[in-house]
Amino acid sequence: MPVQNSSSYRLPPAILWIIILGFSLHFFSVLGYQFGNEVLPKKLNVIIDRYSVPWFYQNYYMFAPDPTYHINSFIYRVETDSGWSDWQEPGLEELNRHWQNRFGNSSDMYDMFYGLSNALFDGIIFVNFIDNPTDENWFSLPAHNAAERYIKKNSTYADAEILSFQVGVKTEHHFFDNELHIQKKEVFQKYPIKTIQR
Amino acid sequence: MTWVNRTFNTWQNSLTIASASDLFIKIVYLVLIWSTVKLLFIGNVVWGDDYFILLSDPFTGPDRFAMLLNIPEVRSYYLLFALPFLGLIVAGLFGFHNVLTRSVVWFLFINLHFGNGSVSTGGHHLIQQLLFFHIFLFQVNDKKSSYLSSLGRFIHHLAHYSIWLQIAILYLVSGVWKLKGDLWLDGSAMFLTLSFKEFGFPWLANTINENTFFLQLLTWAVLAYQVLFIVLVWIKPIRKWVLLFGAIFHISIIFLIGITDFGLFMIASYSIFINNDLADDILRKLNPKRVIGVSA
Repeated sequence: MPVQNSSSYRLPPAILWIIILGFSLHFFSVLGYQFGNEVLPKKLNVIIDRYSVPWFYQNYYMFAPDPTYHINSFIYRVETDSGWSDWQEPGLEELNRHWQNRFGNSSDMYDMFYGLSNALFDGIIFVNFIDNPTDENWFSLPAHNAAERYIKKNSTYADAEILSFQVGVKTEHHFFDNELHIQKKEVFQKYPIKTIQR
Repeated sequence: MTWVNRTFNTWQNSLTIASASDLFIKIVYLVLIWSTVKLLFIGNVVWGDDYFILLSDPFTGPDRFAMLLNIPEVRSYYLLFALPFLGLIVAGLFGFHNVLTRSVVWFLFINLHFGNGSVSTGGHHLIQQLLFFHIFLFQVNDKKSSYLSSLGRFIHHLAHYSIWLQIAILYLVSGVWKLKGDLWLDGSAMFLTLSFKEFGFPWLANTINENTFFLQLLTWAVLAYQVLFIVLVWIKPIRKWVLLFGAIFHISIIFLIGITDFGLFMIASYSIFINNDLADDILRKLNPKRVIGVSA
């Protein structure tokens, strides 16, 4: 029996076109997810969202449409038997390490602090929209809970007997002046002091 | 015979890009090994119980399987995700991978990636998509003759060029969104970015006092590169220059801006564009047997 070479085993074009259609539909949904909101029918957008999120979710918006004008930093202090500590900025310690070694995990630690800072910043805006906010409004924020987790489990005071603590956000805002130079302004916003119940 | 028919036949008959795909998998896995190992040193904070990020568990049904590490009770077992992932990519680096292992690598990467959104970059999002396509990079020998082999080779080619397209889509999306802003068009985006010590170095942020023509040119060059990449990368005579510009851009992101993961993931993904003959040459030179001097 003669040996058949691979060219003898050609698939019917219809099958190949069906496979290509599958890949094309995938890319249609990828592009539709990124650009489709304003141009595609709403029902189609819903289907595309359903297909894309979470398995094919992609976010390429860093520095877009514009780079950020402000950076938030997470700050905290704790009260122990020896009194209140100074304000601590753990993200800055990680940044210092990252400037010395770009290939370590300090940037990842910094990114986590940065995410926490932004959540705390958003939390301040959220609570400020509540009429006569109570301490409970502040302390029930997911960002405050996450900050408390850090202070109790990861911070340099994790092993100390913490009586109370306070978190805050330092925001460095950059803006262009009339001569197109960049000017800097810093705002420090504090959450209320939380006493640890014993 | 039309161009389409010719391409269909070629893609079924022989795997003309096998070495390029193989090298791509190895380089991406190598960068993933670095990324995973460095995160394992702080694994309990990144994926485990000592987290201080905000978890997000909005899905029900099968979609929840993409976000397992967002369930607090699951985080105690993060090593069951990280270690098999590491094992599979180390094995893959030495050529031991198949469609099943590549599928598991994609699944585990999704969970590790979504398990900590704070450390995610555009590079992570890209790699997640590329690992999906790498599932279909079936290794089918040219000598194998069957309908299944022809199908495998055909899908391999489609997946290979899908990776090209996916990389181009990253740039297109990023570039088009930048066009919607003001600072990239007026040439001050790079100036504003570098004014933050967090996106560079303190000395750099303090040194750059005004937007120089060089910074403006750099801003526009990056914008043009991102918008035009999807067209330029298909033009063979200029491809290597386009990629060289991109590689320099991403290396500067690593050392200047400091977003190392993104820069390394992007450079690793560029390996898919390496010519098959060159990839074959590189793989032969990197063959462990050759490196340690054992004759085949």
